[in-house]
Amino acid sequence: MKKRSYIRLVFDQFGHARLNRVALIVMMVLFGIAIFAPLISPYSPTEYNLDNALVPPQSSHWFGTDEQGRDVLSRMIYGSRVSLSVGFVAVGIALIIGILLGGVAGFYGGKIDLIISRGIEVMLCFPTFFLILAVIAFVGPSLINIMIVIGATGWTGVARLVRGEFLKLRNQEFVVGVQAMGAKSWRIIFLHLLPNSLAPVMVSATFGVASAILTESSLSFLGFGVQPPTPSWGDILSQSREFMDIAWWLTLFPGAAIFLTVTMFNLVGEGLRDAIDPRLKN
Amino acid sequence: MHLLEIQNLVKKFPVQKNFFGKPTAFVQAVDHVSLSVQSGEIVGLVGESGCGKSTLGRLILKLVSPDEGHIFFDGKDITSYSSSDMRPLRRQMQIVFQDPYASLNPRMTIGTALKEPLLVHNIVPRKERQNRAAQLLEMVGLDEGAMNKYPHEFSGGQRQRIGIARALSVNPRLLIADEPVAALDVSIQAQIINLLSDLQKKLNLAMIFIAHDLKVVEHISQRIVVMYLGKIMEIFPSCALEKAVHPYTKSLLSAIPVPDPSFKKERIVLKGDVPSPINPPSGCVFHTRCPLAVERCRLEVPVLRSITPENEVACHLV
Repeated sequence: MKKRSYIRLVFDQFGHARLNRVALIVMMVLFGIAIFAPLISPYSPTEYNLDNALVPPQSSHWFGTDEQGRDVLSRMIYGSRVSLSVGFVAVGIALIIGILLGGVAGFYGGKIDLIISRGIEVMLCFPTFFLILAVIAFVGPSLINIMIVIGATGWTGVARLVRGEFLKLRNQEFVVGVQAMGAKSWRIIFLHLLPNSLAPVMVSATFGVASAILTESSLSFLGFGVQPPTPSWGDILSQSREFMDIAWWLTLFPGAAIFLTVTMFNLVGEGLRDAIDPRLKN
Repeated sequence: MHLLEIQNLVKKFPVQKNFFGKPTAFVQAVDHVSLSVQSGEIVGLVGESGCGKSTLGRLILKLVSPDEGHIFFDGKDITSYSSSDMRPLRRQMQIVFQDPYASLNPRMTIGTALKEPLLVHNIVPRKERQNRAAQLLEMVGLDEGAMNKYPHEFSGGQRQRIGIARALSVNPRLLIADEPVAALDVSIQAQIINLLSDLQKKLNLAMIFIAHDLKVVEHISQRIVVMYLGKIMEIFPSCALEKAVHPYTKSLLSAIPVPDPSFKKERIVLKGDVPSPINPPSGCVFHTRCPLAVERCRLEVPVLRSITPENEVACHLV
């Protein structure tokens, strides 16, 4: 049998569908845009030029300009940094909280599990978006606060997944064997249980990034997001409302960017989920 | 002195709880079991599935804590040892599992898996661990190339060899073999049994060999312990199968196939199923299926008593 690692196997399976490959490439391109924003954006995202306000898309301004004459394309390129960083950092925070709490609940079981599981259920009862709005209203909108708040409210799914995986793996013979060997709990949790439960967690993280980006855009749209002049997609969209009937480009492009990003992340998540499904393995 | 001695061990698992979380029904998995194992001795433990033999194995290793009774290892009472007290002792008692497909971490190479026990107990200097792992592989008849492979690249028999190598890596004095061959092909079974038997002699291991097949146990062990519904029915030397007296043991022995078509022997076929361990029969747990049962068996629990120096039996009638 040819030696192939599990990651390789999943990757090959993932690449079978053309849609998955496209989504992955679009995702990469988005990363590239966010990382190299200063190099590729044609204008400064904040420099205004009132002589040039509300110019429709043309060769000098591909996506037109806004009411202060700022180049929409440049603002969107910089905006991708906000969206992607919020998406990843928030999900990172959610993963840390979720893996820790879910892992502890699944590993120790008993009363600890009971308390954490009830905590998760309480969290699930809150309408998350309004909770985020309320918290942001108190702590004030800033990039860091938004990341923390979205992350701190989005861990429940991860925690449940990890808890379930741990419960399932705990009684597997290899885990009992490591216990019989005399290994300490941290070794069992981090070297044996966690690596074997990460696949579904990664899938849910991908969906999590999409939903965090959407939440951030919604917050910015409502004015609770990153504060001007820092551009973000939701913020551009929000400002476009006043000029919707005369400047369609202000609404269309940022809307399309949000749509595209969220869809691509969801597609990648979907593809990953199918790829790690053991029933599909040949 | 016995390497391992267990006295009146009891383990009940709750299966039903009332509204307040208080257990109301139990499975009596292990019911007042006493047993001792000398160092270097192989004890076979047989019984139908669900009779508590695997639970007994896990109780001995303190992977499950007993409800009653005592476990002495090397003269020390380890019954109330906490998991950190147990840690240094774990070197001396190891386990080989039934399912070779579930007993190795799928994300860990064989080399890492073999070196892990050495790392946990810090017994071999880091530089020599690689050599030790290679040595272990050779000991179980695999080559060094296996080191960088993952468990899914091996067959069941090979994986079982790896499991054995891993258990023996810390030089234990007691090995619990929990149905190590039940999941393997017959031809592979013989290989694994011979391997275990060779290694046992070479390393002077004490071993509790759990199986549901008397023939397998007879081949490898010196003494055989027969369990039924969480209780020991009989203990007898494996060189004298015909001296077994308990009606349950006799029925098990009569079920061993003989590879001779002209040989006719009396089959003792038990009627009915094993009763539920949640609600075991009164008196002797075997009385519902025993061909010899009398009134006394329904009322009085027979105790395990010696009838000859090597033979202990729990039956009123023999």
